[in-house]
Amino acid sequence: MDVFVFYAAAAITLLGASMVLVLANPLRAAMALILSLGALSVIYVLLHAQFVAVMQLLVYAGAIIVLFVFVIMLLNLEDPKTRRSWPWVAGVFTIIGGLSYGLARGLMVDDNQFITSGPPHVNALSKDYGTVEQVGREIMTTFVLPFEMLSVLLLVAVVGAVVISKKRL
Amino acid sequence: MDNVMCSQADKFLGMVPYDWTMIVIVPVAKILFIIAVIIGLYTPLATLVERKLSAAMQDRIGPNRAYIIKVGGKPLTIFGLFHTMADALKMFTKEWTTPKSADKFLFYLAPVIGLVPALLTFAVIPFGPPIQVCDRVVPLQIASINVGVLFIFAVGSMGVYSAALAGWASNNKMALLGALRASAQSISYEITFGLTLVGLMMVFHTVRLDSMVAQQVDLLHWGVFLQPLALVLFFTAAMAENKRIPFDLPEGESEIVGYFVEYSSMGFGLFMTTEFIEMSAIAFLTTALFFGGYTVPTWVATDHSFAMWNVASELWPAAFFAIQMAAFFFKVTVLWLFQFVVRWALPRFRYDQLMRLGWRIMLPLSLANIAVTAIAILAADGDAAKGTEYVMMTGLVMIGLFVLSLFYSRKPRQSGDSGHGHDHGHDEQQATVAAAHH
Repeated sequence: MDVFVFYAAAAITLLGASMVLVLANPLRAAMALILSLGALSVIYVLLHAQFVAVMQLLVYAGAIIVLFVFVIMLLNLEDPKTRRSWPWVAGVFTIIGGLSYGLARGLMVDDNQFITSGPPHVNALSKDYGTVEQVGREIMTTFVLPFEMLSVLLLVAVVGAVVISKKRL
Repeated sequence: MDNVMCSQADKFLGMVPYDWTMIVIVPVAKILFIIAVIIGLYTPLATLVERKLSAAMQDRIGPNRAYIIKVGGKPLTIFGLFHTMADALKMFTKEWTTPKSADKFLFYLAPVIGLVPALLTFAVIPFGPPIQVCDRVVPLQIASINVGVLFIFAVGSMGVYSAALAGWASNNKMALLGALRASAQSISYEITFGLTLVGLMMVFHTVRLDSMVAQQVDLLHWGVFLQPLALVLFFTAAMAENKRIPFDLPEGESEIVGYFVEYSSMGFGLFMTTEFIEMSAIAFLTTALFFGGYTVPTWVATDHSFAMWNVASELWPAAFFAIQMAAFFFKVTVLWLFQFVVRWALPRFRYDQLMRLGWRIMLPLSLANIAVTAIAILAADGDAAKGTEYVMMTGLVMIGLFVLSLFYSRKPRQSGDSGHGHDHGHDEQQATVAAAHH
């Protein structure tokens, strides 16, 4: 069951990702990116990372792509048919993607095991692995310093955005 | 269910593997029930209530003519109930037009993208107590998932694409303006929408909705008493997300018609349906979070009254179950009707007012709510009863401050000299008057 769901989700993820590259219309490309992110969050659920899966939808699909769409709508881009196409970009990314896939496959010791029984050592994980409680506890104890540093980084970004957008405060 | 029926059911279900009963049959039954209630009952009724309630509030009679059959020579109208059918038929039979220069694919996709998240919201809301069917306990919640409320935020944030795509794909300036307004409004209020519930998560120590409802058995532990300010902010933000009056800037029909200006027939009908489904979603969610879900208030939490309830629930489980279901849908209906009343009682905001409310009033208040709740819980030092007490007291103080701030923010308008940008519309008016004099 999990295997079928994984293959379906993986296929949709790749389909959406390649559509982002192929589609000429920027808004359609953004929609394809959402498709890809949604399917990716299904893979996260299969990997017992439920919190990450929801955050993927909430932050990326729900907030960041909204900003993309917002900018695309405001920019009023010219007709995509008259736009110069860059076929070599797609080519370069295909080569990079292929190489990284090959590298990942080469590094994987036994990839059959990964497909049939989920991620390695999944059975050894505790029952609340990847849940909201567990992730929250880890963030607030083990990783509290990186977490706070990221918060400061975001704060700096917000202040910077305000300074740039408001000439006169 | 009695034993005969159980054995019969087991014989029937024995043909299918055990897992299939719990994984397929039970969830499908629950999904069908929810869809029947939402799309079959609340949404059609909403079209009628919208018109009847507005009529009552404006001292009119409202729709009362539609009928199918005549009884004794007089048309059978049943309080205008057939107008529901007439409205739906009208929607379905109108001509569906598509603008020539529209992006066809996205144009057709937009209404659907709005409908799906609205319906998905119901997946994690418990709508009744767990019931015992034969030897199995069936929770009346389609999916009890670990991430609970966060799931609702995740799918709810997808709804903004509906308006954005509709406006963009229509290739119409007015629709695009409406889409921009809708996106900006959704993003602004989504933050408050999410932050208000953080306090609730802290109080209940969970993000699961079924667990939250189970903790609200006692009336004094209802979310409304523990987090009163969160309720006000949550309900306001949810209504703003739903984009109905007074938050209907994206579809202000007197300025711009809105993101669905190019939609006709059932295309527009789907946007309307989504709006009504979201209204029931808000009512369901608020009931589960703040009003104890399916629990029946026992008023005072004495052992005696609890014992009485327990005896009653053991003696007549079916009746007790019926009371709990009735309680849930009663609360839902009251909150649902309240949204109609708000819609017909308030005028539309101005855009700057909308943004000021979202960013300058509601966002700081929701942050303050989190901070104060955290301090109250910390002060209780792990004592649950004390924690509840502290949280309730601070909640009352917060509500008091909120009401005070409302009065304070209503500054008297100075005549002649307009203040420093306090009221933009007023300033502009003054400027125009001044220009006309020159």
